Amino acid sequence: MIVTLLSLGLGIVVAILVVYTIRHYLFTINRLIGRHRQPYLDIGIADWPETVVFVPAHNEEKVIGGMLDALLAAEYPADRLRIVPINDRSTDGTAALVDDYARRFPARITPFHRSEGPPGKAAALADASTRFGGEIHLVFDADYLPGPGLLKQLVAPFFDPEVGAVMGRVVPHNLNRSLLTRLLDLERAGGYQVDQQARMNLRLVPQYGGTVGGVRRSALESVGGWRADTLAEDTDMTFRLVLQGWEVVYQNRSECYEEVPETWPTRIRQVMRWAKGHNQSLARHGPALLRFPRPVRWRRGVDGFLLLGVFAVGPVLLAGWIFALALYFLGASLLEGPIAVLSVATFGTLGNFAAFFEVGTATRLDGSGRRVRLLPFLAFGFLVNLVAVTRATLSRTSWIQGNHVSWDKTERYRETSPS
Amino acid sequence: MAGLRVGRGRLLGALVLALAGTAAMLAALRPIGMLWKGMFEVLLPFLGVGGPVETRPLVVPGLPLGMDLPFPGSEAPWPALGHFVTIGTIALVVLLLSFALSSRFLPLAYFLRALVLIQGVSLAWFALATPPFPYPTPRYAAGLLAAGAILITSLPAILGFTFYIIDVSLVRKVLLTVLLIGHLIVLLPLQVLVHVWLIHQGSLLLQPVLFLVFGLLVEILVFVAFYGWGMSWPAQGIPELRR
Repeated sequence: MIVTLLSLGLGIVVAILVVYTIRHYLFTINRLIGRHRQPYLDIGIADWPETVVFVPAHNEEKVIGGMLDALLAAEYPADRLRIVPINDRSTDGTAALVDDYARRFPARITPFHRSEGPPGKAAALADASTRFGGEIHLVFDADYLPGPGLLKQLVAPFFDPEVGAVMGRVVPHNLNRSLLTRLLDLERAGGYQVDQQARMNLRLVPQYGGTVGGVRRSALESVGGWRADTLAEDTDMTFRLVLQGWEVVYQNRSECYEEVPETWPTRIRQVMRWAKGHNQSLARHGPALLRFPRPVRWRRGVDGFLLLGVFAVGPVLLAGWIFALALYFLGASLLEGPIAVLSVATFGTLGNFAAFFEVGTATRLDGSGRRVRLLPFLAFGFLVNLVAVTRATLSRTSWIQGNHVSWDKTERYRETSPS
Repeated sequence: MAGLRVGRGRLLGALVLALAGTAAMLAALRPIGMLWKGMFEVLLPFLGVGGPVETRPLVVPGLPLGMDLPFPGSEAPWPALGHFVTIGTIALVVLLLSFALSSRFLPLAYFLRALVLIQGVSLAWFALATPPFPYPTPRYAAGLLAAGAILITSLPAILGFTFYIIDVSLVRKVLLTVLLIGHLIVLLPLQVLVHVWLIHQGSLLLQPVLFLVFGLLVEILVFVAFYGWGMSWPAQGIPELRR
């Protein structure tokens, strides 16, 4: 009886892993042979809409100067662009720094200082977005370094009135710092170059990622604005927009450079925050997606559900290993059966072997050459992710609505801030 | 946008190469079995592991192909008190070491703790259980070799789906396949010999962790390493980029 139940549990785990493996494989094949969608990307001259760029910041004195310099150099009509650094109760020199920029560029930079209300990026955006007009609201984290043409590329898709949100590609610039940064570079390549672009090509659900992207203000208002009580306001916004019938667009050629975590503890905190936020969104929007409402239909509903469930796969995989271990000691004949399949599946992103194919293809599409030889070391990253995601998923914060959220910042490594 | 041009010609080529590779592997199973038998007969005496080299048939369903799968036939001992003390102490030291490692080595620390967890379960199980163990060492060795043989035979098909469709030359595709399969054909019996030797030294207490962590997963990582190497090779001719 116990053996039957454990075998059934293991079979379910393997089935879930197989579904994710097929999904990643199909995405990669699409990137190799499919038609690529990149709407409006090369528009250079147009009647550009009024745009507000929000830069939420909490103790970002090391990096926010570089961000503001990059935005000031952006090739976007100055009279249509407002830069709003949101200083949320920083205790370092962030407030003084953004005020200094505002004094020097009063027509272009309007700082927004927060000292009360709930803390956190989501709350800061919820607060600030209601106080500024503009047709398009772009969001950048303070450590990013956008190139001059990026704002136009991100705004261009909004010429399509059905588009509610746009997401650009995030590329690490500190990849030579450690093995971890190298591995994160590979992961990011797979996630954006293949995964996001394939979802874009297949008209599934590209994800707005909370930075290097933005939303149409009318779309934002139609779904009730930013939610302050979530750890992943980006994922939450993506699915609220999709469920309301808005399109989310991914622009693979709109690259922006970020600083990825350089130490494993920082990486674990980042993954745990993402996992909790994703799981919150799964609990909130998963059932609605599987009812396949009219704007979503079954293909996007299933893909959206799988996207939201990606962080819940960690504990599922761990459960599979526990089942396998128990079956082994109970003497079940598994030497050439499910354990072998599970073993194969384990070496992918959260139990997905096709992830290696995805990452390898992404680096090849990027022309990144020899860095793909680090592929087997991704297993280290997956192991750490597995532990972090499982800890996050088993935490109460993952599933209980309306938790207190706060600034859970990723550590910055840049030594100085450009002036 | 950059993309690799994967036309019908390359897809057809990938299919042909995968089928040809699989057929070659199926035809090579018997000589591979003979090679493994020879390796066991030569190397087992050096390891001080007695017993005969046994064989069992491994057949390809529906085809007159397969191999006489050789495997070391000697039984490993049921754990004695000394085994419990020695392996328990090593596991404890490894656990303490995992907490002493700096955060730079966090993945290694997690890996070591996972090993200790599985070894701990093994210690507990053997402390409570009575002989026989469900997986006698000869059956374990044969199972690992059989799974490995199936994996090796499947490699041309797996590469067909993931590598042959990439824009590297035919010569390089064949080269990677030969290098990878050749590597695994040699690695697998050596790995089994190491496992059998360790189990004879440390008793059946070590068999679960060897099977679950250092079994087929080693071959998978070797495959990924070769695959990453192949994916780093330059494109054939002019890079086939399209907008």
